[in-house]
Amino acid sequence: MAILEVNNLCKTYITNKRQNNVLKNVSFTVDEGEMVAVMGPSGSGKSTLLYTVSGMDDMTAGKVNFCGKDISSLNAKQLAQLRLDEMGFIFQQMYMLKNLNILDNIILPARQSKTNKLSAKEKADYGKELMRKLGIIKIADNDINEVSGGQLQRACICRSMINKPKMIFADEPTGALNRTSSDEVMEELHKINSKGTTIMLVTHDTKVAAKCTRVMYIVDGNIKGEYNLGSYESESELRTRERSLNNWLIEQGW
Amino acid sequence: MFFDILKRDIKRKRTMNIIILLFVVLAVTFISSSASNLSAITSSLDTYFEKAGVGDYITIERGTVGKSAAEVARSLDYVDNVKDEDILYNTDGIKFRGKSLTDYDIVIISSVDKQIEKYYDENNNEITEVPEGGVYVRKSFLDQCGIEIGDKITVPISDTKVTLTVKGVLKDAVFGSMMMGIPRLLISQADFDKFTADENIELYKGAITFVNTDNISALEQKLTDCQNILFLGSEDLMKLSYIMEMLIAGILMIVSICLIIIALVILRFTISFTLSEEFREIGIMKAIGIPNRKIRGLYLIKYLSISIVGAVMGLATAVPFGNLLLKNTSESMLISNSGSLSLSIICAVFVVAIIMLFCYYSTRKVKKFTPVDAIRNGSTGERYKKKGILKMSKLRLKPVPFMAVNDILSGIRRFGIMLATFTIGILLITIVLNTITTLQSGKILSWFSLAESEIILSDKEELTSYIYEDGREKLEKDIEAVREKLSENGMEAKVFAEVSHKFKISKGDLSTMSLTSEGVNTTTDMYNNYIEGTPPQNKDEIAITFVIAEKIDASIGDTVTVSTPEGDREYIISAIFQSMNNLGEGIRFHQDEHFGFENLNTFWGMQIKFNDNPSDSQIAERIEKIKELYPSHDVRTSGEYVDHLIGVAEYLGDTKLLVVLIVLLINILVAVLMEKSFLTKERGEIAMLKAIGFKNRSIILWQILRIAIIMVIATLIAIALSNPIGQLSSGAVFKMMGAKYIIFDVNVLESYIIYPLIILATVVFGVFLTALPIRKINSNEINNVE
Repeated sequence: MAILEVNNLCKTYITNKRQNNVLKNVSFTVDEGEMVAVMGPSGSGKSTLLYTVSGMDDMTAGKVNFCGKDISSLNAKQLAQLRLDEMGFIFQQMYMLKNLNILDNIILPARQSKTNKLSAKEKADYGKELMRKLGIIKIADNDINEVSGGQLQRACICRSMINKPKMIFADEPTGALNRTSSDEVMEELHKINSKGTTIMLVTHDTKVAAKCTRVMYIVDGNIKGEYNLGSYESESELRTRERSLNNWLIEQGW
Repeated sequence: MFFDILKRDIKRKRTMNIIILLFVVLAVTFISSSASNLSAITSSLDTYFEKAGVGDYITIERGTVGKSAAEVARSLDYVDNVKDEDILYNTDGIKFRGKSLTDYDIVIISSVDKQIEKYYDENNNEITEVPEGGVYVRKSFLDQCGIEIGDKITVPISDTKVTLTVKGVLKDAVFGSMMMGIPRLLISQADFDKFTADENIELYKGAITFVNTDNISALEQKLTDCQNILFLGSEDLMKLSYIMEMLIAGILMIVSICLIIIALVILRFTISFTLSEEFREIGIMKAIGIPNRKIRGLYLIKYLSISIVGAVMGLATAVPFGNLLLKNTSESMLISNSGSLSLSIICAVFVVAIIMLFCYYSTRKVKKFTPVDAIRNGSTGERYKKKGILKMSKLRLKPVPFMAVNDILSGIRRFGIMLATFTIGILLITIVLNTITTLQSGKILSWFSLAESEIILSDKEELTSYIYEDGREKLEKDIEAVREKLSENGMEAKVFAEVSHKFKISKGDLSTMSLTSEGVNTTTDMYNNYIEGTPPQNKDEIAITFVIAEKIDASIGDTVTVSTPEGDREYIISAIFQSMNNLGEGIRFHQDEHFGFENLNTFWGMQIKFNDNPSDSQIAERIEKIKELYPSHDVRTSGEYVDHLIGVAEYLGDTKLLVVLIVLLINILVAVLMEKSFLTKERGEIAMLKAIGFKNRSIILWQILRIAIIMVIATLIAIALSNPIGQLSSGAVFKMMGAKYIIFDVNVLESYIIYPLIILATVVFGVFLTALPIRKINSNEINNVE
């Protein structure tokens, strides 16, 4: 069943009186439980696609349905509500409030949410539980400038999970991390996905994309092709998946 | 390349650069105008008296009995120079639009041709002639009586009435101060002659004498024997009558000093704040090999350019702003602003130098950091330093208030600047409000040596009707008549009165003239202005003010001689009290010690103290009733009477308005500019909050709450400090007037609630408007923010 339906999505920027069509009639669907990677060369519109379908940026034309809601008809307040309660976000820059410690940054969306009916203590406990699962419980009381990039990105994953979202949007979640940290973060995202949370992520890294169930390749604002990788059971399959993905990407002009 | 970087920096960081520029403009405006005003105010009185040619010693006489002060002074060999002029007294009131003006009991009439001092008009030009039918009069007289230039007033003296047109404002050193209860009308010799032609004019004649001598104390001893003296005192004492002008000027001086502090503190903050934003770029420049000296030079040149532009703009606004501050004071005094431009330029240069110093100090870290340090430090310039103080997971506070409180606690320095600014602003308003409330409260009746009462009933004619030997008996009868009339109309009250004489008091070789209070139908224990000792219990005991005690070197238990109309009498000092009459003069006798009223100096009116402690609204009702019973009298509450005595409330009201406006303007500017700089710095965090689902409303509330919390804390601190700081500032002025200590009367609702709320509301509104662009920050900007 589709959680995200995108039809004829267009996004145009006007810079210095020049029209720049970043997304051109993009259509696709994402089913519940899928982990979709969006790949493509720089400037192809990957991040714009992610931000537009998640309601962080407005669309020029088209229709986006998220969990049956037409997000183009929602106002800024309703979109904010939707992002808070039903979506999770992970960014390349591990942005957090510098005056809050790691745990407080994680539970911030939960404390702000009115639909999350847990008590303040239960929210804090759930935040700690997530941190424990992602192996960063030791840094709960640390400030954001006291931890490594990998730890901080895992904290961002915890924050994106705190309101038990239906879908997580991640914009190059491993882009600022070294290989080890990157593998750890992807491992966690894979675990989250395997437990039912839908994920859509933008990446340049084939190793990251190889862990997804499907890859969309976007060029000049159009989805040029899709590659179904399906799910995998063991780490040993990853190398084969990565190789076949690479071959497909080369065919696409990667 | 160096200048290319600079040019691009100024363009790219336009918002922050404009903020710095505005702060520089503010700093130069405040510092230049304040310094000019401080210089003008502190030297103004001396310059004014010197230009006006006021003598070392001044006497004002009323009547022509016996030897005049001028005759006595001319006979003394240690006197260098004596100048005197004849004056006339108007005691029947000035008529304006058919009605008698009740604000002044006595008005002095002088001829421009006989002037012994120089007079100035409102443009500080000397007045050398007055056309026939014209009159010049001081600004406070015009304001209080509602008269405007060009209006006609009628001056009656004895049987002669002359109608005069107000030609302009008179700046008069001797009679020009607000505290001086007697104003002067400057008229032509032709009009003066019309009055002197009246056959009964002798009763209304008097004189003003200026004496120049090195031996003032000896002169004063000799002049105490003159019978007509209404006032005598040195030039310094006369200057003290400008105490209210100086009080206003003093308030403005405090405002000015606060403005300078605020300007410097904000500059320091802004420069270090903006420089800390530059660390990433500094790191990159270091990484590509640009030497430290050049990097620092880049920022120094940038701030030098901004501060020079700001200084020029600030100089342009400093002059009108300074004039606005001085407006009230300069209306009654000759204030010299010469040299203010050069002083303003010096101040502007000083501000530029200070900015460069701050900048130099803030950029010294450039040397210490390695390129990697600088780049890693990024937006904060700090590394591995604990930021958060509170823990949301441990508190039940909602996220928005939590973030606001936590931000304040985590950034004490940056919010401390705002706290200091707001505290100073509210403190200024509170001090001014408390001073005005105190001056307008009936409670300070005792400062004028009067017993407490609810209402004062006065009539112009009354003083003259009691000036004869057995005037006391007539006054006692009149008091009883008033009491009975009130009683018949259902108002049971104690009615009493206060009169003053001017007696010579001496101890050993030291003597002085002093206002002497005599209560009619009062007892000495009804006065609550004693600060030491016991009120006189016997006829041979007196109380004197500490000012008189100091003049004759006397203390409790000493025996002093008082020259009364009944002859010299000896008294034992039983108490010391404080009084603001004639800047601290005062003697009080026992209630059974009476004197003839033939030389009565002042009649303060009949005081009414109701037996049933009525509420304010009941008093207001009774005032209306008494006005019907005594239509020709002035019926005032004690507060209104004090206001009438001091005649400064209106000016203080203007000053209050000015201070409130300045404080509002500064608080809004500081809050808005700081909020603007916070928004620039926190753009990334705001984008992130929006991305994770925070609504615009919550983010704007977070921004506003931080400043509102600071404002509330500032109000609490200002309330706590208002009394001690008030004692140091306006309290010091009251002390100069003769009050040894004061207890401020505080209108809690006005001082501590209404005005702080007005400031809070305007500041919050300003911050709200500044924070509105938050709506335009896109959550997808998160990856583009440094």
